[in-house]
Amino acid sequence: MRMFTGINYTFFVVALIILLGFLGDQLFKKVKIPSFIFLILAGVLLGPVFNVISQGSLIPFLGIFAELTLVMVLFHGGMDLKLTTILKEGWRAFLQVFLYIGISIALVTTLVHFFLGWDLLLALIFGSIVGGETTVVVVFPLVRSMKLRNGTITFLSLEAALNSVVLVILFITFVGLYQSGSINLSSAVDSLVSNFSIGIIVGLVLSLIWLYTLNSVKKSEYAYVLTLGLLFLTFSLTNLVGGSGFLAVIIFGLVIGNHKFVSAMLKRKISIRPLEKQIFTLQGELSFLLRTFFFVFLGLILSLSYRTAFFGATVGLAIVVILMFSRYIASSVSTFRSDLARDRNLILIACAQGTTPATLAILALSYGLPLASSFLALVTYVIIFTNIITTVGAFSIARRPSNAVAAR
Amino acid sequence: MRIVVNPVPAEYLTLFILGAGIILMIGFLGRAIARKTSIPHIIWLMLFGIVLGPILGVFSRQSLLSFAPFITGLVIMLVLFNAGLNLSLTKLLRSMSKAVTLSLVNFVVVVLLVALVMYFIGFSIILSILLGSIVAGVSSSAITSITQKINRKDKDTELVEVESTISEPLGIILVLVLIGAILLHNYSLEFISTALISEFSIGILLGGLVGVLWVPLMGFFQRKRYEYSYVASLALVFLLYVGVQAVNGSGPASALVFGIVIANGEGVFRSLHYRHETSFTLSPESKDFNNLVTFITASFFFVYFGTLISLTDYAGFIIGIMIAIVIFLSRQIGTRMALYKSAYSTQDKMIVSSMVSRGIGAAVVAALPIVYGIEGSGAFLDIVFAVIFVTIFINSTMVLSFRSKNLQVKPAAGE
Repeated sequence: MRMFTGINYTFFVVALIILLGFLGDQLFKKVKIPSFIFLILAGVLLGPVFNVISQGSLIPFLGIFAELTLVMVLFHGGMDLKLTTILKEGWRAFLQVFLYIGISIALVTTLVHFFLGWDLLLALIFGSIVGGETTVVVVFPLVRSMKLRNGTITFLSLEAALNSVVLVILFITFVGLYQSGSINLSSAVDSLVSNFSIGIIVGLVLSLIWLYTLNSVKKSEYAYVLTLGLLFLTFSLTNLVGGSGFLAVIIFGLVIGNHKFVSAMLKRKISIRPLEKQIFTLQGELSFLLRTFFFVFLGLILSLSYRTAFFGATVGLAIVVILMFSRYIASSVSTFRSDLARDRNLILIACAQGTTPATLAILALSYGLPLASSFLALVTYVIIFTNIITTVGAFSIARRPSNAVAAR
Repeated sequence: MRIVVNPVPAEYLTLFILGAGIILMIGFLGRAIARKTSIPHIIWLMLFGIVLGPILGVFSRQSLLSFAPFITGLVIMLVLFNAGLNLSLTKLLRSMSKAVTLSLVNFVVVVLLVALVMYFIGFSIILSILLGSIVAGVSSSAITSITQKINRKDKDTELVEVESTISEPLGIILVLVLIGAILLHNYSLEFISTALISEFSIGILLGGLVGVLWVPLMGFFQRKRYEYSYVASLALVFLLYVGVQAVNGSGPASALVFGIVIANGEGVFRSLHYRHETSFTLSPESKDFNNLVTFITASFFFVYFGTLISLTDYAGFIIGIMIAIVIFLSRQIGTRMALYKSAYSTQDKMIVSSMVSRGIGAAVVAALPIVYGIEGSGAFLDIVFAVIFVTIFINSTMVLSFRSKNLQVKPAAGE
């Protein structure tokens, strides 16, 4: 039918992207090369190289897409943080996250502030984008395939779930400070504290109401649709009353993922385990689709000019060196005098970055922050380089005789 | 290196997500209400769209109409693929002859009578037939929620469910062919029937073929526990849809048949006498996820449809109410004709003839004539909106009256 020609074209590209995401995911399971690299490459081919999709047509949708992806990622991350595990064995992972993020943000900020001459607050925003994420989708399957000790798996899983949450909080803090104009630091800090407090309180109150609601409809068909609706309401209502929607979403995820703990505290009989499992599975599928499109978009809006490529590659490489140095110090301290120290090399190379920095960079772009296009170029290279390090590192560690025996 | 961006105000992003949250909640609550009252959730979603569009003026009709080709294309594909996935081949074959007769007779009677009324009102013949085709298909989702309500899992409800899965796609495909004919200014019966047969044949053949090839691969992915194998099926539907359209076949028909084949893979291969050790059945998780994707997409679509309504067009609404009554009367005639001398009791026939609800099949193609600039189709959206509203009202009232007369209608579970 001739009348759908333009639509056919869009459908064709959508189908190709989804297939590429699926095949990339299978390839990752076989050869451990993260699919991000193929997806970014596909974006580069579709955008800057062959100009199949124009950047201009995408830009208006990127902000909303980034915000939705981040809401999903944070909710999923919050659900994955089991308070009992954190309280029992999580302090080393906590230490790792705070040291890795703290040192890398400090060093990255120093680099771009002093060597590139970026404004301090913008440098801090950039630091919070690239400073210390380890992406769940690459790190989880990797650590599982390496047949590691249970303690190491918990450590890396907790780190991956926690660092995205911390980075987003830091990002919105610095963006808030930047947008307040920084005329008066104390008033900026005041507004930030109020933003966070409202986010936490409103998020908590709404989450508890939602928990009771979900408990009463847990057997209904499409209860997941209601959960998704409640998630969006939590985010938007908290934002509208002047709180941080992202924080509220993390709290909603925490409350759902730890409903047993919460119900024990409230001395109420609440059990939504099957629904929680369903939410987790469906959220995984939706996040997979969002992630797949996201990385293609990242490639699409990447500039391929010689200057950008040179700038991205050199500064990106310097940032990766900083990240590895920070990770080395953080993992040395956090695994000190523990069984985890035996897997220190693997913890070191599990630095692959993914969804959070990509989303935050695009969000910075949609907020209209100056230098946001430089953020985007650098983030793309950092994602590519860190994924290469994780892949090559995992290969070389797996090929060592001692590890091969352990794996067998 | 610098990308020029007009920053989107943070409040807009927040309001957009708030709207999405409200739509999902209305979708869920609407289904819960449907279980109690037999009023399908689509009514609430359309009303919310009316609040956002014509009442509050949050969206302008003209800017939203420009997205219609993409949105309707996507919704048609997803709805038909989902209809295919949920169609049991055994059920289809069991009530095949009666269901096909019932759907074809009812379809033709509705198209003819509606076209006749429209022609007398003053529309051209081709536009009258086009509107008749838009409203000819019974809505499968509305019917399912109503049959759930009356809690009958008898042969008559099964018959209507199968009928709706045949007539809704038939309506969509016929409308697309008619729009094609109008755009090419070729209204001859020969052209339309040849195009219809040719597009259907290509779509069914390619959809079936790709489905048969995909089923063993899908079985392999599921056996190996490959994650996201459903997502690959979804990508394949997109490719199939595009590929079939490119060779002048019917993309919607191919999506429907592809869905039927992969949902009934085991049965298809057994009927082909193919011996295999692995399971070719689509995993329940894949089916759940597809139902979810379709439900969410359809929920957003009904709100979108509501925003396109113009509340000032009283003539459109009056015509819509008249057509809904004509549809009801046509169904009484059509059902009696199709089930003449059948084993169905008078009571069964009454239940079957009360199922007149129109839904996504009509809504999804209603905007297309306006989008493609077909002259005289400006009121179609309002007419179709009124038809959906009134047919659902008639259907729900009939069901309530059956319940009050206690026409062997058991109370729904949980009541």
